[in-house]
Amino acid sequence: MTRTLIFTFLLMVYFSAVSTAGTIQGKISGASGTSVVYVDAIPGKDYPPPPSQSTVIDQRKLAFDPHITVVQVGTAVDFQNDDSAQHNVFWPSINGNKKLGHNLGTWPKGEKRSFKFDQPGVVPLLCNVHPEMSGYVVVSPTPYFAQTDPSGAFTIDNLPDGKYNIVAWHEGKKQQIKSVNVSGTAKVDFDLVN
Amino acid sequence: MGKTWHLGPGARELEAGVQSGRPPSPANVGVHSVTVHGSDLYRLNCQGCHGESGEGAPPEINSLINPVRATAVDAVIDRLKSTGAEIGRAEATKMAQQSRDALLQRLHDGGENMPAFPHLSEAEIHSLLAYLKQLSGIPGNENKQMVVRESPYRIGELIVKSTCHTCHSAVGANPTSQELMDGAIPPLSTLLKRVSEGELIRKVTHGAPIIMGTPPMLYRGRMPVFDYLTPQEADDVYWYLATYPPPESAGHNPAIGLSTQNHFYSAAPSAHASDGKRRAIARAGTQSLQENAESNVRTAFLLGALALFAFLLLAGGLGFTIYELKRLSAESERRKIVRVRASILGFPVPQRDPDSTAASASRARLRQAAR
Repeated sequence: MTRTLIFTFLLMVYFSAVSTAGTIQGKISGASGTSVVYVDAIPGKDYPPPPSQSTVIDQRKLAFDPHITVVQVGTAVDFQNDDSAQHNVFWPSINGNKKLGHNLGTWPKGEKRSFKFDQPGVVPLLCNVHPEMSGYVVVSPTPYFAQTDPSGAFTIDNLPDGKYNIVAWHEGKKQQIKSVNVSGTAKVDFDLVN
Repeated sequence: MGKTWHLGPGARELEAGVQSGRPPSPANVGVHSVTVHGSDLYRLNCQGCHGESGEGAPPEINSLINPVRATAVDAVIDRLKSTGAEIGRAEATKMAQQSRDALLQRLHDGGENMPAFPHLSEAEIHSLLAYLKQLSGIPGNENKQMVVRESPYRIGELIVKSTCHTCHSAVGANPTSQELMDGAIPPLSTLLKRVSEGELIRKVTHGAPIIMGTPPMLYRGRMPVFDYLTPQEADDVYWYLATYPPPESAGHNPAIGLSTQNHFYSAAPSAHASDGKRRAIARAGTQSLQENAESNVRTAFLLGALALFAFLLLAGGLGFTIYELKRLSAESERRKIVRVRASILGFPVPQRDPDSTAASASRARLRQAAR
């Protein structure tokens, strides 16, 4: 554990040393509520590894809490049932690919099940028992991602300088990709249409 | 709040008690059993909270419609189709099965506010599930509600353990009027000290104002009115409550607890049951088999008696008919002799109907013509 921490620390030191940290700022319009923005994978480039600690999504009061979760590819997500009712978790597809659909099962209060997301894409979470429940895991191919604040603004920090494809996703909207050159601080805005 | 539903004897135990004359007999002791359908089981067990439609009162009381729909494969597929996603039948079947297990587990264990129903028998659960599916709009379940025969005690037990226990505790001190004013709910064990049979029936089915507070004043009762229960069913509640306070052993007697558990687990084997629990369930299983055998013997005996009765009735009828035929023919013979003797002695003899002689002559002609 300590070794991992030291390694991560050294890695961060290394990255901050070799490149000046860049920032992407922007605003998403045309959609209300939380949107997700992430830096798409660039072939031949290595990124820091995903966190070893898993991310938790609660099932509470017949809802996935939080409704939208963003993780780096390779991160494990714990689905924790905090309702007195039993819940099921499944996703019919990832990024529309039905082959990646999966049924995690049905389990009672106080129990959790874990899944490691090794494929990037948008995972629509559903519960078979309660059709009113829905949630999303957005699996980012890179560790550079952000969720928008209520005004639609976002900031992605600690990004090495370079040329990137930025993806903007919003529930029920068509996702958009924009190219941006990061050198210091870059700005990119999205206007999501249906 | 009465969350101690483990207290309270089972109906089977009470019936045995009735035979040995222990608890007081119900007024309807002549009625040995009543026929109930899944819809009745829903009414007796679920309607108190989930309402007639099954939609409950969210967020406090969840709707049971969607959890029930989730157990039907076609409903699962249709639902996903409506959201634009598609799913294979095999996967949908697996999810429906999981949802069914979850539903049965919920029924058995209860929830934070929902009482547990480990006392329901397999037949009752099957019949109830068919009605739940019908209520949830899943086609093909209209005729699947198995008919279950229940004793009046069982009806009382079902209502008390599901509906009454939600608010009333099983045992406790009889509250004073001041305590009632402060919000106390009288425990079930004291109810019969407070109300008569007629009063309880009226309170349950029509509602009744109560006297509360100092100085005593008439208040509209706080208890909901269960207008969907019949007076007879409310009476069954009264006679079930006549056995309160429940015997100390009732909640802790492993034999009773497990045999009821077995009814449930044989319907849905739980993956979470510990080994010890499973062994106990297996033990209870043999016990339940013995019970079944006993009831089979009883049924066979009843059927035999019924057949014997029907045979005797038919034989009696046949004997009587033969006797009557003999008697009547003997009588007509006697009359013929009397007529012959009378004609010999010159008494006036009633003539045969000339029409009938004409008719027999025409019949003879017809017979000839036929040849």
